[in-house]
Amino acid sequence: MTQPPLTPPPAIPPPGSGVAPRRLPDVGPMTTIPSFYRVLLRGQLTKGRMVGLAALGFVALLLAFVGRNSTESDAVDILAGYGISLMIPLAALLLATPMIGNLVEDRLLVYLWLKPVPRWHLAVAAVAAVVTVLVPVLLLPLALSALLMGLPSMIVPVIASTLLGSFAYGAAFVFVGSRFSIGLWLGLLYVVLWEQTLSRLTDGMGRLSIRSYLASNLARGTDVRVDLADRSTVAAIVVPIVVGVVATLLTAWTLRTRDID
Amino acid sequence: MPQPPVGAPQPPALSPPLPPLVVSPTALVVVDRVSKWFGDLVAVSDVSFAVEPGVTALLGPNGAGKSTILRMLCGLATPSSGSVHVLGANPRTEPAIAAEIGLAPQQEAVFGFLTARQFVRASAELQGIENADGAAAEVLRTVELDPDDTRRLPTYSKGMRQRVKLAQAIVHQPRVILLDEPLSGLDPRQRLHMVELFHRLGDSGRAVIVSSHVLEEVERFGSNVVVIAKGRLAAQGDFREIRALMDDRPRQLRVTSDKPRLLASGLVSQQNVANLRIAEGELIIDTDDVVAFSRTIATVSKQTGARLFEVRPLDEDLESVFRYLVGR
Repeated sequence: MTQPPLTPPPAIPPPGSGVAPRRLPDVGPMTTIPSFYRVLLRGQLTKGRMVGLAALGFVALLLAFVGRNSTESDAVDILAGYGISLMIPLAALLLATPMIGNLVEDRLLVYLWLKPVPRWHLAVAAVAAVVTVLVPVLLLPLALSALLMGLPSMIVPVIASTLLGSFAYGAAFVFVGSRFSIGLWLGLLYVVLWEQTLSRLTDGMGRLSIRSYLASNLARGTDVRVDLADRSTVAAIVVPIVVGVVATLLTAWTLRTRDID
Repeated sequence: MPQPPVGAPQPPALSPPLPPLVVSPTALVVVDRVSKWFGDLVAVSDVSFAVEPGVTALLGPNGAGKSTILRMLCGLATPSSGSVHVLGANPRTEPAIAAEIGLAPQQEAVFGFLTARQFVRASAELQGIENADGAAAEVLRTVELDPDDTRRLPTYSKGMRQRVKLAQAIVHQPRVILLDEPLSGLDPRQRLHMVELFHRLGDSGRAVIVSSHVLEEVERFGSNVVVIAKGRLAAQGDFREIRALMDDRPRQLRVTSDKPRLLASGLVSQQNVANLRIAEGELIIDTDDVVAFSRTIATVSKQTGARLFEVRPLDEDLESVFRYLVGR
């Protein structure tokens, strides 16, 4: 077999000089983020996760089918109580915590980390890969549920809640998974304990719950009172975006500061 | 600067104190008084060395701290104290230097959903190589793999995966190449080819640091050797000097004979016998010069009429060799 020639490297600067060793390759975010994204996207599409996501969607449709003849109030309760409160955070938890967490656990992160690239490129690609899967997987059953229960006016709020929820929860759980080896359990604790229970106790605690902002978006499509939907229109849109951005930055910071195995 | 954990074993003091590290202007990698501890465990203790272009063997038993040093060299881990520089840059805080570093890690895990070409191409893309696919195909040929193989990586043998890892480490033609136990799982022909490739890379002006726990591989890898044991620098320099140290170290031998007491009386006054005892009818002998001793015992055996059944070294295991190099 012919051996390709090895190009001799350029002249070597003195050690400790701090001089750039050679003209570094142009690896901007438009090159690296799609590369990271492709690898991360394929990595998360495991059979187990797909079955879990399908099960969550199936339950949403089953609940909608059962409640198709119920009152508007009950139908909205189903969308908010299951779709917004459980389905979105649990689906995000299932997909997002292993996104970087599994790479750490499987000792594969090194292949993506040791590149001449700012760490935020990897963090953004991870969040984008999560959102790419979450949005269709959540939107389809939730929108169908709304239609099945005779709530066409809820379609736009469902789309807004799903998009914002996918980003906020997805980014938050990517961070938790990258930072803590028990990220999945911490995330589950947050969803069950904080989002489901403690957030209802006081308005202040409710404000610290992503769910309350998503519920506020959902409430725009109905006159029915939705639990925790006490946020203004602006806050309901801006806060989940801020949560997602901050969580993405925290993931980048984690990648920059933690030791990689 | 982080301090060692309270109550943790302190890095052992070296005696005499380390002289300041003298670094040649052509050194590509400089490790200066680096220590690394994890909680109470001191993994690397006050290690200094510099690496020039060419192949350098980083030798040491399993758990000696070699992988930790390699991880610090490419910025994957932060030294608890001391500094690491690659081409003058701190690999931990300056990600751009990763363009000059290639690492083939020890772990066998690979992305199970990728083919070899996809894996190497992704690495090339992230290094900013324009024709990433072409570069991936070329480097796969260099490591004797078929770039058109459509099988996914988990179906590859261990040796093939080792070569894929090497391919992704060199696809961007870095100047510093770090290979953690790269010969593990390879058959003799593949080992030969890989070592030849390491030398080609080294001869082209790159610093190739190859870690191994097999001390006998010292001669394969070439002239520069860094020996690490128990997290400390045990020896460094030309492999011939290390080889000589290994050959000249004190040895313990077990001698079986039909007349052990008679043989012992003849050996006890010999210069190259440092210590001698009889245990269960066998002679246990400490010698500083195993080559001279082999001549002595032949002579004494002839003189005393004792028949020799067996002369066997008792401390040929690698751990004892490394222990000797550390304790020197």
